[in-house]
Amino acid sequence: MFDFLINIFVGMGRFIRFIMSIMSSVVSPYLWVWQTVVQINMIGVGSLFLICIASIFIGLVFTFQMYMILNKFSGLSQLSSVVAFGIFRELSPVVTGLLIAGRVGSTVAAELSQLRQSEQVDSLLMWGISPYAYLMLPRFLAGIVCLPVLVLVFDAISIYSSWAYAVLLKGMENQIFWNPLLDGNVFFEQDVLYGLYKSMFFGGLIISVALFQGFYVKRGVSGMAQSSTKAVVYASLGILAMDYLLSQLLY
Amino acid sequence: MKKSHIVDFSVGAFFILAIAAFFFLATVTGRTANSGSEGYELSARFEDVSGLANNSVVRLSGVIIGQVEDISVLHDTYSAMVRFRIDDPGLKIPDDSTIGVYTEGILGAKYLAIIPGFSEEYVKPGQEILRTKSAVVLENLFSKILLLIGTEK
Repeated sequence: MFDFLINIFVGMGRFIRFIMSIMSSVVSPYLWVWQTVVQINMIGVGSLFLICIASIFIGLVFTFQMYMILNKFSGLSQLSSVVAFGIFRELSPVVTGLLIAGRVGSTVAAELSQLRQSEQVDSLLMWGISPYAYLMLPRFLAGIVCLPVLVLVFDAISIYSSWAYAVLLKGMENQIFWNPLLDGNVFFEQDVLYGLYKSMFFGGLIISVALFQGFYVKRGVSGMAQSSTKAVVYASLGILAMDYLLSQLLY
Repeated sequence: MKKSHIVDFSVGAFFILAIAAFFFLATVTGRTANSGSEGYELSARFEDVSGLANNSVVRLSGVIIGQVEDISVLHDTYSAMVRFRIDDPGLKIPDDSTIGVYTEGILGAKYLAIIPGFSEEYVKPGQEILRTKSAVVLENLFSKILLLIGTEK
């Protein structure tokens, strides 16, 4: 029991030291730009299809539920602002974060643990290249850049799928759907941008947890499996906990 | 095409998509009224401002012309003091105008509405609008209706 607690504190301390060394490598003499671009391609562009499909269905189901509820209170004129509020502020950053934690977190952790186990990280050090600058920082930056972009795409597509449900399927007036958004109920500076700020934190969290788990991998095949599982689980829990804190902070 | 070209192409397309989504969302959603240096401040005293909040909008003839900056209770009369900002410095409000707290629809947010008067004198920045109409609290309305029904029996 006591050991368990100590392990948690030690792990946390190591994790913080790890993040600090990633961040401090920003000032290292050389930023591996091409590595960063390749990682943006892998993390952002590779996840685009997943996010598009997810956002269509999230938009549809959320609009469906809200349509039924608002219909009872005859408040359908506020449909799009309720949907946009829920999606822009909460659903799109959190769902994007969870999906990316599943898709990218596991990949990054597996990659890193493979590199670590085959001692390629050590060989980088032998060449005098800091693994923090060459391996970690490009992924970390790519995560921070890509998540807000994916959230923007999520927002735009899900509001369109919401429109498709309400206007095309349920025969709502086009103007009645769009007006509440423009009419000062949903604000670009607040609702959309808050989602983006959140997602930046989520991106940093997902990638740093995955890198950490990959870097401190145990020996053997089961060690690799564990590290990629832990990367997804811890990142998902971290996202949900952080989401509450950030919502309180940013509202 | 070389592999690096494909990567460049897809990353470029990714960010162009992001910019497109950004502008789409920016045009579709509303803006917070530009507060700060623009415009001028006025105030008004109400008996009841239930539901009004900071950043609630101020309307004139249905058009948004400003927003609420601050709500506080006066220590002597216990009435609510609302300070609000008119965004357009050129928009002058007659000093016999009425200001009231209204609701958008049944579930909607509360807002301040100014009904302009006919005076040739205008309210100066920082001054108070004297004619006010408080928020309608549904419970009070219901109790009045119930009382009415009770007396008719």
